[in-house]
Amino acid sequence: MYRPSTPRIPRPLLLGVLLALSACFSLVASAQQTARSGAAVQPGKDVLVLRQYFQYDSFNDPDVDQFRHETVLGYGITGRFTLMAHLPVVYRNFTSLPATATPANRPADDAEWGLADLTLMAQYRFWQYDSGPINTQRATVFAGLELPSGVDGFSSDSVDPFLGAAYTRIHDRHGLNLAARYQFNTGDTANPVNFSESDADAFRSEFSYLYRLAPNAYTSRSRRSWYLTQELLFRYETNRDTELLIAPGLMLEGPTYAVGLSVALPLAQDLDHRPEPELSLLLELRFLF
Amino acid sequence: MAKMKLFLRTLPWTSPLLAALMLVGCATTPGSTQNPANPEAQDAADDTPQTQLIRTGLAVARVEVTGLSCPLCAHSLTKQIQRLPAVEQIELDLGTGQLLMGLTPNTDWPSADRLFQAVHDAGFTPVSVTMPTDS
Repeated sequence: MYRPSTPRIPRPLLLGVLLALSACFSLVASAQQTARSGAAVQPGKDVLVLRQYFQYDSFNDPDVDQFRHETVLGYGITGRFTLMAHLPVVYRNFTSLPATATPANRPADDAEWGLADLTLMAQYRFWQYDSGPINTQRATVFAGLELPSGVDGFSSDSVDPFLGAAYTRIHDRHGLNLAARYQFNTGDTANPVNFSESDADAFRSEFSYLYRLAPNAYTSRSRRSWYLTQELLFRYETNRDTELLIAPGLMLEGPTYAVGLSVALPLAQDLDHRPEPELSLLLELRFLF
Repeated sequence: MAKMKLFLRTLPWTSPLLAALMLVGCATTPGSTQNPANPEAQDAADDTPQTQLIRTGLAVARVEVTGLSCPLCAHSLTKQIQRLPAVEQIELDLGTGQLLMGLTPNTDWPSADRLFQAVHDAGFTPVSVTMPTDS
């Protein structure tokens, strides 16, 4: 068993730092879209959305602690058509040797960080039905490319196309999102840790429900909303790795910003080609410009 | 060997919590702010952003909008309207879908068609437009 020479960062300390961060940002505030799931919502024409994700993941078999900071930019070309870009930076701490590690590709150190593959995506809303001041139903299709960052250990060194669709329904205090995405993977990272990092094609299906805790009803003075969120995330790769995660959370949304916090836990998993997720904490900040 | 592990530890507490909140939410009727017995309280309740806008002396145009979804989503609409000429002030009521615009008097105002287009550009559906009677 591979053991690092440097001491491992205590997990309670990591959790404490993340919770402290979330407490700081809770003074700021979040939309009817949860952090981990796709939705058929997008910025208006010539409007820029900036999202910042701060994510901590814990895996076992082998044991890995991972921090991921992802910047997402979305820009409305028209009211129906949006372009988006994802730039993820990942820090990993392997505390045992990955099953896929060989003398050639084993991690150079127990801890490493780097830029993971970038994503460029276009989304088009092809259907919309607005039935009330708040109430709406929307459906979108999207497609994009995962582009290699070229960083050893974090990049697949391949261009991987994907496509998918999303549906959103908002009715009074209830929001519902369904999304599905299929990615054609042609390369893999040296030691896959996350979903869709192997060379197997990857399918994800996501369901999210949002319940507006406050206000009870919108008025002319309403400026902020609180939501309780629940996500169900299904992931399947053609190498037969399968997982089902549940992610409850809380979200605050204001006129120009949003803050969301969620915890993802595995409900069921059958993973032979990458570590098993134990826990995932995610803080999302969203700003509209 | 492939192993299927079930972790049902989260369902027992998250799902009943959500179900309970949904039931409470569905059963809740928004409270009325009207208080006829107290005229001062009624005046305060009537002092909405809309009435304040009317008092400024600006010409007021009104658009009824549907599909506003949420405060953050609705901000896209405010952004679109702010770009139009002669628009000095904007008040949006998420509860009624009513968008009020304070327009500079005696200038060229955006047309009703332009207002409709701005709402579409923001991703929402305009239902009707009421323009001020004179410029």
